Amino acid sequence: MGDLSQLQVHLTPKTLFHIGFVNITDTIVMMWIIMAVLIGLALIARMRLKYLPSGFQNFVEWSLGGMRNFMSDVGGTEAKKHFTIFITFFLFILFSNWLGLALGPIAEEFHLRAPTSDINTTAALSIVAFIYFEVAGMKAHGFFGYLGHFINLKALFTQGPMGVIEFFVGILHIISEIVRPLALALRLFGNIFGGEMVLMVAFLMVKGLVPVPFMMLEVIVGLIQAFVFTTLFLTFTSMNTAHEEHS
Amino acid sequence: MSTYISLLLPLGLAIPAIAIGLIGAKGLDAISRQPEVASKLQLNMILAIAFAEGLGVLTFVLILIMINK
Repeated sequence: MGDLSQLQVHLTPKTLFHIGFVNITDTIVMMWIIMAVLIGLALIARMRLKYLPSGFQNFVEWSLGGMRNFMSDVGGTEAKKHFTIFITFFLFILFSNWLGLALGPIAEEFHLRAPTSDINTTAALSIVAFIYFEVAGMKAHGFFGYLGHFINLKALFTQGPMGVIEFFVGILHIISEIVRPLALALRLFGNIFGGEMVLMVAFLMVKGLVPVPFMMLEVIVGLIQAFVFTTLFLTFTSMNTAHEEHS
Repeated sequence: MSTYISLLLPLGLAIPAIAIGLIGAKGLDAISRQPEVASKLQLNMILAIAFAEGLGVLTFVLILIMINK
């Protein structure tokens, strides 16, 4: 039995060094590693492009094609226009979850942890997602048309008593719109950070092969969370760009 | 403080757990009745589970903030 009092909860990442007045934390360094891995993989995949793909190129094309089909299943053919940003988010979150796990055993020595276990990263991701789906909505409906969903003056002045209800429904939409990025950020952060805490407790309490099932669970959780973040982003975007059917 | 945590933790985790269990059970019921729509149902199941799980995660984050104070 290990000593649970050794367990330390670091909500904030550790600052490794400074560049000017910018603090470079462990999660930022980890993010650079992940960016290098992703860019390297992309460069390797396009190094020798062939008309009839085989090997690695075949795998990449197969997986990207599968995800593209999946996205058009969920969000309609409209979603294919936004494919690039969804796949970027998915790959980044997936790689940061999994590399955080893979480098977990040496994490103590080099202060490496998954970037998604830092609330700053997930907040940044969800803010980018928020701006993206708001702008997509504005593009689809026009600036004032999009704002009209939230502050529904047209309904208030033309539809009488039902218009008042429509107006308040619009105000409820504002609240649900603000909650979306908050929930996205907290969900990803909580899941990955919680998983790391569980692993830390497991490694402290017992030795040997006992923590391995927790590791396997975390691999699945990492995949599911990347999937969930991307799917919710996709759903919000297609909800915002969809044209309402008036009956 | 630990009293609050010991009250908050079981409540905040048990209720989303019930919700996730219900979603999974109902989803599997529907899939076994109509296996053709399995992929569509699974997607919606996972989304609904993500929303229910978000509440549990919120509790977890709250507790972390309470511990770290």
